[in-house]
Formats: sequence, structure tokens, C-alpha cells
Amino acid sequence: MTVPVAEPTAEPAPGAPLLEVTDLTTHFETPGGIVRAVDGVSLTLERGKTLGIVGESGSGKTVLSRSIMGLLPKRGTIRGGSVRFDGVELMTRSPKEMRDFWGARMAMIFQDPMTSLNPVMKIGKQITESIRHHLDVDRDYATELAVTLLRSVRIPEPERRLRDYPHQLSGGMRQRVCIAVAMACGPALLFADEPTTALDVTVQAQVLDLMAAQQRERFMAIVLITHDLGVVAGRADEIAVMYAGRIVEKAPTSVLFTQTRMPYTKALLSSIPKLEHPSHSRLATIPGRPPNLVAPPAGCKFAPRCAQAQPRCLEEDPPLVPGSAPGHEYRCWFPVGTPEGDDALARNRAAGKTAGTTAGGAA
Amino acid sequence: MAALRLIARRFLQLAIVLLLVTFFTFSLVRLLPGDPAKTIIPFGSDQQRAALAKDLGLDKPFLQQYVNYLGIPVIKSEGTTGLLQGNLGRKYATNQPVGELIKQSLPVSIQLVIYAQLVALALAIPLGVLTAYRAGTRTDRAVNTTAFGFLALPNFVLALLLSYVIGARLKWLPTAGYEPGWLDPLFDSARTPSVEHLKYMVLPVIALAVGQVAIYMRLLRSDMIATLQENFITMAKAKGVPNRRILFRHALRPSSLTLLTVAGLNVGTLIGGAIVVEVIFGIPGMGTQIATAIAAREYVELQSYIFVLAFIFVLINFAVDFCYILLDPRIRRARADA
Repeated sequence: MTVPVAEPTAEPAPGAPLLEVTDLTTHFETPGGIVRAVDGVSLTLERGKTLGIVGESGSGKTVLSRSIMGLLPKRGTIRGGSVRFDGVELMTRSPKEMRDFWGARMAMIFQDPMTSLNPVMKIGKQITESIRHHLDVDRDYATELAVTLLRSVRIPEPERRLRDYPHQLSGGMRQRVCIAVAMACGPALLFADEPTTALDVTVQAQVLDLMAAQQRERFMAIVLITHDLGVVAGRADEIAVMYAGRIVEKAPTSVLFTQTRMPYTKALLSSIPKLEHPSHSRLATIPGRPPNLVAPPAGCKFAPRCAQAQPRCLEEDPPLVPGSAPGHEYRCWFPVGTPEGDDALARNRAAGKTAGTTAGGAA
Repeated sequence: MAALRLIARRFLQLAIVLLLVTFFTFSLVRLLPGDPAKTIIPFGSDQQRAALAKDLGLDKPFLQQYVNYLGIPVIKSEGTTGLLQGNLGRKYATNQPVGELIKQSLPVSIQLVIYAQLVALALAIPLGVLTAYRAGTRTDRAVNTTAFGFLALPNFVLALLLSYVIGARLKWLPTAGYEPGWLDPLFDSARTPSVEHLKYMVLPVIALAVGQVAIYMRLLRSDMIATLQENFITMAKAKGVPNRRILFRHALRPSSLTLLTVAGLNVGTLIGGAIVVEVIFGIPGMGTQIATAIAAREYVELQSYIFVLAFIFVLINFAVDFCYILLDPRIRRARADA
């Protein structure tokens, strides 16, 4: 049976990318001051493509995805910039108007499948709910569709599972149900916010493969958010690395891995354990913690933790500059793999300290 | 099987609770100053009173009287019957069976308490949901302040105020009296329900319910605020589910367990409140009966009233336990495993 797709709410502009985010800022008002969770992020995503967003906890990945979707609570949140989806500006839309997009044209999968399904509602109800809401179909058809969806995410005995509650399923099964819920109305864009972080390693690949299969079938774009470069390595067309609410390096996947320019990306890459390392070798870590987003450092936000930080890094904020490969952008005064960067690293090694550590000590 | 075992265990608990309740009421009513024989024949001679006390079984030692009241076979006094034989005793002054008196007054109080509970919940649930959704806003503060104002107003003050203003001055509703409602014929087929019933119930129900609204509302509000932070609420939002549906279909049920528990326990408070309110509005319910029984030192009558109310109270709270299972499927398995 064919899966109906929600009607587009506006005529798509021909040739426009599916998602176009320009200079998006998302700040939260807190008693301690304004938290700049997302601070000027621009990105584009074409139909059917996958964008990986990588960063450690607190780098603003989750806020970015929720801000793009408009899911953040209105109170205490200040958003700026522009989000165009299929040629339609979303920033100015009320939550009520956004409801036509949520679940229907853009959907989201959350990190923890144990808590993202309603514990007191049957699986079937949770799937048919958005189908009934967005598509003009009767209950029997919605149920039939739910069975098809559960089957497509490879849940055995889908008819029986419809009557189960979430606690009766395993974590991997629940995440499949979440995928089925997200797929219910055939969205054009899927945000997957750490979809495999809470799952067993053996189940992770299955869930990611499942998402890829759904993507091919539906020509859907995916924003895959993760803290694990390994997860996006083989799956994303393009990767954006986030740090302190900003994109610090963005490139087509192969370029990012071969022509890494930003020291933070390099540090993330070297913190992935490799098979060829001898056993019991120490995992590389990034010293320090992400900066306080209420009062971020004046210069490069990564400078205090950077191995090749120079005095300039602490004073001047590096802009996003294009790299040699098309689509490659990064923020760094002394990029990795360039004479300036190597020189800076050698100087710091010789001195036994970086500009960041001395400044960090003073602050 | 598990369910049957659970029910069996519940009934054992019920028996223990009732044994304790009967013993304590038995002891407490006898601590009241005065003496039933003196109340019934105030100007009689000491011999007459002694004869009456012997007649009523009041000459026996304390524990023997208790055993007789329960009607425990073998050790009870010969020729007497008690609770275990289904005998709730007789009123000393008129020799009427207490069971008959309960048939007349119990349905009246049950209806009063049910209405009060329903009105309190009907107001508290929407207000709790609203204040949770708008937590921290002016609406939230205004609703909370008003509800707490009413909470601070004792029910007897409110009852007198309503009776005076709406009953006596405006004459919109009767100040006192009662007409049978839907429940009375079930206890006594001689009574026929009357539409007037509701008219007599409005003011007492308001007086009883208003104070509960703030309690229920606050409980639901805080649980609801916690639930609204849950991931599954964000997920429901991301599905495009409208706010009203998120609040009432996704968030209300998982937030209502505390409310349910307290609503069950609060039946005790409502029964206590009903005693006062019934007396003020001249409603012939258990409350009025208990008040007169206390004044007349009707030991057995009083004991049996309290026994019946305790029985109902415990049963309601068992029902609450079973309602958890309906509200939260996760408890189903946990309970069955226990």
C-alpha cells in the first residue's frame, strides 16, 4: 500500500534547497544571564541528503535542531536569523501554524527511546495519532498504515505490537517505533538527535541502517546529530562540527576527514579509538571543558583548550573562511595542515604551554 | 491468579483495619464523660439506672462489652449478637435497630460526598492543567491566590455564609432540609427520588468542595509541570499534536496518580466536613446522626456509624489502588510480580 504524504502548505520555490538556515541565533534568558546556545549558524541541506552535526555535550547541537524546528518554548527564548524550509520562512510562524509542519513535513527522533514514548499510551495510538491529525484518513486506514510502518521498521508481529505499551518493548524496538512515528506522514526532513546514543552498540548500526533505508525510499533529508564522528563518518554527505553554539568547520564528509583544518575537529577525530591502536592504549581526550555560554571568551571559543593557540586566538574571533575544497569552511587563524598551523603547534610544544593555558590560568 | 491473591491480601488488610478502628472507637466513646443510662432516664433512681444498664449490657466489663459488640463466638455473652452476626446494635433510647437508621442516613451522606468530590475535581483538574501550562504567569498566580483564599476559609464559615446570603437573604435556594435523590431508593425502597434533591444539595456541596479545589489543583499542577518537561511531551509536540490534546491526552494521565491517591484519602476529610455541613444545613445524613449520637452518649449507635464509615473509607482506598492500574500500565506488571 502506498503511504500518503501531507500536502505541502506552500508552493516550493523552484531550485531552492529544502532547508536554508541563515545566521540563526538562539539565546536563553536565565537568572545567570543570557545563554548563547546557538550563535549565528548558517547551513543548507538539499532534498535526500544527510547533514551530520557533530559536537560534544553542550555545544548547542540539540538546541540548534529544536530551534530550526521551532520546538523551543517561547518564554525565555530569543531567536534571530532566518530558517527557510522548502522556500517558506519559518521564523515568523506561530506554533499553531508550525503544527502543519511538525510531524507532517519535518519530524524528529530523540536521543532516549526509553522516555520519548508516552508510557501510558499504546504504541498504535502513538503512531496513528499524527496520521489522523495530519492526513484525512479514517481510523481503520490509519491503523493499517501503522502496521505497514511498523513492518517497514522491521518490528515482528506489528499487529500485536500496536496494542503494546512502550515498557513492553526493548530499547532498540522503541527507537524503531520512534522512527515509525517520525515516518508516519512521510516527512521531507528528519532531525535525528543522537538517535543511537542510548542504544547498545549492536543495535546502533541496525537503527542507523534502518534510517538510511527509509531515507532512500522516501527521498528524505536527514539532519543527524551526534557527538560521535564515527556515527556520521559513513552516513553523512556533509558534516558540520559545532563548538560553543557555532559551526567551527563544515565540509563534505571525505574532505573533513582528509583536509581537517580546525584543531577542534582534529581533536575530535583523534579521540576516536582505532582498531590498529595497541590494546590498552590511552584514549586521546580534549583537555578542559566547553566555555561558559553566558560569557564566552572574546577570541576563538576553542582557544583555551587548543594545542596550537596563539595570543591572536585569544583576542580575535576567527571568521568562517572557505577552504581549498568546494563547500569546505572553517574558523581558525592557524589551521591544521598549513604552515602557519604547524608552526604554531611547534612553537607551543617548544614553550611547553599554549597561549590558552596561560590566559586560562590568569582567568 | 496474581490478581486474586492481591484481592485476598487486600481483604485481610481490611479486616485488620476494621478491628483496629472498632477497638479505638469503642475505647474513645467510653472516654466521653456522662453515661447513657443517665441520659435516658435523667430523673430516675439509681436502681432504675442500674437495671437499665444491665438491660443494655453496660454492666459488663469493658473488654467483655467489646467482645459482645463484635459478636466473637464462644467468648461473647450468651444470647447476644454483634457485628459478626450482622447486628449493628440498637439505639438505647428508642430501641430502633442502628442498621435501619443507617439505611436512612448513609445514602444522604454518600451523595453529598460524591457531589462534593466531583465538583472539586471538575474545578481542580482544568485549573491544575491551566496553571501548569501557564506556570509562572499572571494567570497562574491569580488562580493560585484565589484557590488558596478559599482553602483558608473553614467550611463551616462558608456554609453559614452561603446559608445566610443565598438562602436567607436572596432566597434562591433552601437554607435547610432534604429530598431523596437517586441513591436513597437503593437503600430504602419506600423513598422516591425527587428533582428537588439537587436544590437542597447545592449549597452544602459548595461549602464542602471549595476547600478541596486548592489542594487538588496544586497537586495536579506540580505533577503536571514535571510531566510537561518529559521527552515524550516534546515528541508529541514534534508530531504536530495540538496543545489541548498534549495537555489532556498525553500529560494528564501520567500526572494524575498523586491526585488520585489524595482524592481517595481526602474522602476522610470530606466525611469529617460533611458532619459539620449536614448539621448546619439540617440534612438528615450520617453527620447529623453522629452529632446527635455523641450528644446522647449512644455508644453502640456511634460505634456502628464509625464502623460503617471506616469500612467505606478503606474500600474506597482499595479502589484507588486498582485505579492506578488503569491509569498506568507499567504498574500492572509491577503489581502482578509483587
